[in-house]
Amino acid sequence: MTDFFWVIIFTSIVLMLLSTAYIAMLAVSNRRIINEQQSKLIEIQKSEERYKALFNNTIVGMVSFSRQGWKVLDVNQSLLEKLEMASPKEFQHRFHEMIAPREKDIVISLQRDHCFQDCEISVKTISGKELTLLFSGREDASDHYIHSVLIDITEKRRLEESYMRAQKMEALSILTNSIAHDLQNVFAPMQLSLKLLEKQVKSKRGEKIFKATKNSLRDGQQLVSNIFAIAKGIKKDHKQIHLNALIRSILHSFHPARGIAVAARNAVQKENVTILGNENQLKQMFLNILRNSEEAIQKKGMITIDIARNGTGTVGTNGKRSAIETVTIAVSDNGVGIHPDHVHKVFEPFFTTKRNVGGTGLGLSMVSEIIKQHSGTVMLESKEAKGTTLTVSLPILREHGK
Amino acid sequence: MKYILTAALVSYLCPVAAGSIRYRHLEKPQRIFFWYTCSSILFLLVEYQFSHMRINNHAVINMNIVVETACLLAFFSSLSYPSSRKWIGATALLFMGYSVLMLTRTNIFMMNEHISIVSRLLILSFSLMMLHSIFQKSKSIIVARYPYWVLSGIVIYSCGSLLIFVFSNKILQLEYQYFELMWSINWIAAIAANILFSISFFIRRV
Repeated sequence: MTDFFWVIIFTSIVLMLLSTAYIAMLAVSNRRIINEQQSKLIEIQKSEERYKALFNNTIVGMVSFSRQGWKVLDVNQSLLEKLEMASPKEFQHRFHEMIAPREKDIVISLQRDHCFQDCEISVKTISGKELTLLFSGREDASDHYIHSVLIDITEKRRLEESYMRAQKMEALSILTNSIAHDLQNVFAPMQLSLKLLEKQVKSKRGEKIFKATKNSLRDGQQLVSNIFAIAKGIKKDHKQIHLNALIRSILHSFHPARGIAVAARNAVQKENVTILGNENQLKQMFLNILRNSEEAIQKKGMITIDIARNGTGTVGTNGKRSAIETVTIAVSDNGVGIHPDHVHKVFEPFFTTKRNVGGTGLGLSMVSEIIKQHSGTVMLESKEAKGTTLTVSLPILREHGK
Repeated sequence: MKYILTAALVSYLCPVAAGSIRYRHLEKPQRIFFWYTCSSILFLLVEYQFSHMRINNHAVINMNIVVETACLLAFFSSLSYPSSRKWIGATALLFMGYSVLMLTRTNIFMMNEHISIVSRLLILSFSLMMLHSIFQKSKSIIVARYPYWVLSGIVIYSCGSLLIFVFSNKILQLEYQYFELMWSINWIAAIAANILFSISFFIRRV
């Protein structure tokens, strides 16, 4: 019986000690696990912060979204700033609209390869600035979200376009220079021959034909001279010009077609404003502008010339701008206007919408070239079926009588 | 031995006192446990008084075991997830049915070993399961959570007294000095458990 007693005593004590040890061991293990978990959590938090900083501060735009309903999961700060958006919610509202034109291509690529690459999308920012973005992404098989990047290539595209245009212009310049040179060689003996023939024309009909031939030759020579001017650059031969005298001379030389009235509002008539420039070039330039306005008015209309002093404005060439008093000459017409797609192209050489009526596309290109030579600026505003205003701004040299 | 018995009786007062002081701040499972400690001390006093008056207190001890098990199962249920509660509830009902059956079919004035064994095993297994569950699911240190202290106390007491309850009728046949020594093991386990129960009332986090 006593053996039984001692066995019970011993076993009870052992059981009690074992349970105490088990409980203590649980507490110690738990502390170790929690410490490990905490250090892992700290590491994860740090890593998360690092990735978050990378995600938000990277130059490229990043967005994670679901294909179902194009629901945006996350969008980085860089992209929001680029699109001038305040919150991811705002981005969510416009995301589908942004990718809508390329949605079909994206869906097909995702179904085929689980990724899409270099989809070019055009996006308008809140302020209306047009951006070109390169959109690439990959589907995450685990969570069915698409992680994508948007790279702004607006500047790259602009530079590419201007480089292409420059190359085109260079090629055109070489070609036109060569053609103009050859034409000049053709026109020189023709002019000499016409001079010799002039004395031999007796009949009135002959005189009429002779005059028409002479005018055509003069037009041809003028065209060749314009081509030379654009190809080689306009010769800078500047003198002091009285603006009022120049305007008077221009209005005197310009004879508008029937039904077109010309009105000049000269705010500087009583002041003697002087500019530095080439009188012939400026005259040619303004006549060119007035002729364009005349052509824009199809039957009846009005051309208005507004001359005003512009206070202290900024003019300059080659990107250098300085505060100088300027005079603006705005030529407005109530003609057909220019199509919005053509507005930014009108100053390009050989761009014309009047090819079928003998337009060469050199007029406004010449205007731009002459203005550049005079350290001025030219601005064009046009509304289809309403009319066009071309504003030339030139620096004032000095004033007399003040 | 007398000192151990006195210390044990005093130790039973500790969780009651701690629970009373902190009762307003106690959570629902802690409150259930507090009422269990109150019932324990009441039963103990009755048992002690009966033994002092040389009256057979085995019926009270049997009742104490049933009430104790029911209270602790209620405590486990309040700590568990709703999905586990129905199992604990079912177990409690089965145990109650079994106890009623056993008490009516056997002599109530004798220590019922069957009820003691089932009760101890139930309490011990549920305590270990819950302790393990807390250990597995805990995202913070378990020492800072009151269920750890309560369950530790229950496990230590159950382990220490398991064999004593299992062989209670045989122990009663031993000489008094052996009987006293045997019960002192139970009292030591009770002191340890009561200290842990008292600590648990001062910890709030689940």
